[in-house]
Amino acid sequence: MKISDQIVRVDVVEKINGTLKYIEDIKFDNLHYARTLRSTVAKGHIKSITYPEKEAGIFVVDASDVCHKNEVAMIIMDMPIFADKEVNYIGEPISLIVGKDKNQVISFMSRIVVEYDLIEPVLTIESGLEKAQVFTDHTFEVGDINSMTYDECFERTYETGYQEQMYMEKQGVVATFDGDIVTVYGSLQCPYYVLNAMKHALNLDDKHVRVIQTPTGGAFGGKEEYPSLIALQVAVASMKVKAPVRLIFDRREDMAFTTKRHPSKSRVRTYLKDKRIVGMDFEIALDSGPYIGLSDVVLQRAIFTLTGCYMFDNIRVNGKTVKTNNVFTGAFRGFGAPQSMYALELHMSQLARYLKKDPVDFRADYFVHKGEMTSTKGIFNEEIYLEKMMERLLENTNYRNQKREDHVGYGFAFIPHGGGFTGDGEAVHIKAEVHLKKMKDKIHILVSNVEMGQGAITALSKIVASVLDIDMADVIYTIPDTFHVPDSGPTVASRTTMVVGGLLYKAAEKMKSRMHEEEVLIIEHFKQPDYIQWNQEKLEGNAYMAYSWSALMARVEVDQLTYEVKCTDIYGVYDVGLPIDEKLLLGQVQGGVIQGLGYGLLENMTSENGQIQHHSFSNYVIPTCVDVPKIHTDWIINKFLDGPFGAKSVGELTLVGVAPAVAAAVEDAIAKEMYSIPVLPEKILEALNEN
Amino acid sequence: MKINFNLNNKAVSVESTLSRRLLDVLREEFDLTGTKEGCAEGECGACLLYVDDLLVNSCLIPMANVIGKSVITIEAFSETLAYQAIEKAFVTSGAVQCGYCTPGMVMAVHELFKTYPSPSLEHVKEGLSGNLCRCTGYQMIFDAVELLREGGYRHDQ
Amino acid sequence: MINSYRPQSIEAALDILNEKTCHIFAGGTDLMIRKRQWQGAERKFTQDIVFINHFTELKNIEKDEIFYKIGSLVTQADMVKSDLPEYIREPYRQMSHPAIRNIATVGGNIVNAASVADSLPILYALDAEVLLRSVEGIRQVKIENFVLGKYKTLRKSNELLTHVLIPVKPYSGYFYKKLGQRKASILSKLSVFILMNQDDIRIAIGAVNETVIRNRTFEMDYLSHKNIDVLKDNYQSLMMGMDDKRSTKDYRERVALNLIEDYLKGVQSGL
Repeated sequence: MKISDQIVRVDVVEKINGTLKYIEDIKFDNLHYARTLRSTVAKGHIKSITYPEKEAGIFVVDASDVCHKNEVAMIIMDMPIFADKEVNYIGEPISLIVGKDKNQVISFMSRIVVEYDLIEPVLTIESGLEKAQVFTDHTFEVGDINSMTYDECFERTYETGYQEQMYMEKQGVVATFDGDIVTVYGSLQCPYYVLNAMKHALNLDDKHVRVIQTPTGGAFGGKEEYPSLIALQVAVASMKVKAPVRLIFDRREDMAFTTKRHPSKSRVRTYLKDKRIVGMDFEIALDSGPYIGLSDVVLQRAIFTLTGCYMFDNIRVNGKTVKTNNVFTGAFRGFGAPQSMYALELHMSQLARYLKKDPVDFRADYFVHKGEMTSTKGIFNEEIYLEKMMERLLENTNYRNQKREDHVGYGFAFIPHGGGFTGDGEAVHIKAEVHLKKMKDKIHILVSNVEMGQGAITALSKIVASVLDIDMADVIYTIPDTFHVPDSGPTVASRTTMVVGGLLYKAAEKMKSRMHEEEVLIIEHFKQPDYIQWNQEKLEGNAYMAYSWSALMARVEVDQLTYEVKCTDIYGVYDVGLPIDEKLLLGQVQGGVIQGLGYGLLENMTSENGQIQHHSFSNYVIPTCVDVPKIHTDWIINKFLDGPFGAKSVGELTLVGVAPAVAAAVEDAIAKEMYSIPVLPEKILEALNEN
Repeated sequence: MKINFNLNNKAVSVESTLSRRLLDVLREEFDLTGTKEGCAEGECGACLLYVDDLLVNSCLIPMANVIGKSVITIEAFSETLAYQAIEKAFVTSGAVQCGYCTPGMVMAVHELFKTYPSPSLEHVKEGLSGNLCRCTGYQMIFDAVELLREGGYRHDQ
Repeated sequence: MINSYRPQSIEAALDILNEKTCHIFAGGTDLMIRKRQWQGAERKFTQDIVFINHFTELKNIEKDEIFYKIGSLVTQADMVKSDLPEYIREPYRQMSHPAIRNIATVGGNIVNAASVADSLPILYALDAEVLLRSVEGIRQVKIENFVLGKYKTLRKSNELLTHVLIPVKPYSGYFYKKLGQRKASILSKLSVFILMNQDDIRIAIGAVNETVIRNRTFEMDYLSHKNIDVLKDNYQSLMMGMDDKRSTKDYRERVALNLIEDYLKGVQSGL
């Protein structure tokens, strides 16, 4: 096997014929079913809960059943497993009602009465800022924005709303307890996050808790931190009930109450002198719900990705996570970058039009290059080919020769995406470890990174097979089970191929000379490259190990009668180092582009009085196959020295950038500025009305 | 009450209320888990199967409307020759990522060719308009359908 | 305890309906969602249920000199495949998606009387009538009298809607546009249905108000003066659109009028 070989995915036949068992398909003896009793108020004290009289077969599991700490371990322990005295968002779990007869559980639940003492909730970013309800607040600067000279200031504000991951398989977990070991099975991205949460809350050690990932029907970040909450709930339940307990959400429940993309508000001020950008002041605030969760990390990615593909003499970036009583927000592909890059790239497009400059040439003036400083005073260590990608994009789209047509618009976006955890996260927090085992003539991959549709099994197996020059069929990926696999870190941050694949590459290199042995175990630990220096206190240094890049153009047509936007084409040129597999890359590009298209055009989700308004497939619209544009994909090769075969990250890059490209294209078509996504026909009509 | 119908080419009988959903009966009484509940609203297509040769969303069908009828799920369909061609096309094209939408997508593709033996892209889009996929962006699914069209897919095998 | 009945005959069904108010379950594409419940549990039915989808006598499409007579259990897919005129088949072709069209019934869409019901604009424009049958007999009601408001109809709890009657009349041109939040498989934000003849025009606007907007006076008025601006003002005066999760009042009203204007201008200039 060579890395350039064209292969097919190794894990799809059982998916096609329906035999693959997801968590809801797996049988457990004496399985009990759990349903969640949830807060119906955005903020309040629980005055009383009146449960119906005890019934045989029904168990109520709540905070009093958590033996050690009623906390879901995330970065800060501010979120309870079960709300106890107070509730902080509509939908917050108060207890699980468990039983074997679902109709009985429902009947029991319908007779529960909860009384609250209401407290005034915070329901918008503005009111959160006014009340100084901010979790975290970070600023970094380059140059001196306060004392630069300029003759013009171009200022705009931008808004983005919620986006729901809409994985086709709903959240689901099962816990079993045999008197000694608590095991959680589930649709997960991060088995070790769940394990650590269980150890923390239940005061158990590695021998007494076990987490096994089951086939995951899509995740996109929605199953990154959220499952820790429900895993703990069923773990506690199964210990009480002394039987397996399963919790699977309804779709509407999933949409209304689980983590989703942070809504954002950005204010961008660009300072110009002689029509050139001399400084940029960027402020962004994220609606982070009532518990911090991963919001600070989302914020950090949002701000460290600024100022995108550009550098200016003077930069000031400030970001805030705002505490509200809206639904708890969290990880979703892009992880803060879609929000900040929407604002930045649309801003650049609007600025170009304002200055009467070509949107591509205007940007190229500020492109970053190898050896130059990043916005956090690090160094771009790698070769950067933005000019080359720009040329390729212009060539592929034939943009310069397009005749201008009425109601047709073109929009651009140029995007960087840092691979792996921010700053020193890989070295300080994750400390990934991988195992590569030879047993007779098979090579076994043991990592905690999961297959969730993205092709991890195929990609990681291909890397190992290519290094060892053996058949893919001789490489076996072990299902992540914390009893058997080491902690190679979570399946997030576009790190699976670049970081974990990189470690497996190194392990396989060591295995090469030992292939004659019957049994071999190679253990490889992550080591931070010397050129990555990061100061988390000052937010200074290399925020990321390596960057992937994209150059995008969208073409749209706006209907004159209905104001509907038809996106006809999305062109992309990508730098992901070296694609481990071209088909896998295309799959990530096409999937990410359509999710980005949804974010930019279709997926409207708002919250009112703390309640998500669009929580059904019939009013929260994700793209169907009828809504898709033609996706034209191209890439350049730019190998990353520390990536397996030169590979860099892919997964999130492909989504970021689509929304601003499409939004800019709409503005181009209607010759009007707009400041929020999704770009709905209703908003276009409003913009056109303002005459 | 006892409900008699034909399931995957076999006469069966199941104890059920008239109002219970076909999807639940198949999954819980017959352990046929290939058909999934993605949305419970007939929007996503993960629950598609055939009742009397009609492609339907099983999350909306009560057992009352199944009496005496013939139900075919992915489990039976995947044993046909016709299915083999679909499987090959899906594998070759990269049309499968997380797999959750896939059995429903397979059923819809089969139905598409029953209606249009050589479907245009417009026909394909109409035929698959009730199948939502969040992973692939649909392009490789179109590629799979194109492979089937080129290969002269026989839906009657 | 909810009782379910699957009576052997329509008469038996009518007897049950005469005794108590029941959910009448045809295709179920609406009821199963409205009464949704936890996967695996019984749906949240609040009344006894009478299943009627097996009555073959209600699955026919017949035609005589005066009417197309369509059984209420004819599915949307059946409508698309039928020999009915294109202006009747096309709106059904755009409803939802293929698998839903295979189960959803003509009657169900009408008795549900959702403000977004896609068949209602067509039926209003065509002067359709419905047949309601009970133990007391049959009554024939004009569609615009049958629908009282959002989810409200004239149907008495002991009545079954058995047929829809559409007058047979040829039209030389028609226009139909349904708009949703995306291109396929979606509830309507608004829909516009126009039929034209030398001496007749019918305009029906759906999903903007709680019920279909149709006004014979405005239609006849237009035929006499052919003034599109006056027509637009007339229909604007009838619009009581709302802002909701799917769209805005302004958008619904403006776009409906844009579509009507564009079609009529096209007709006037001989396109």
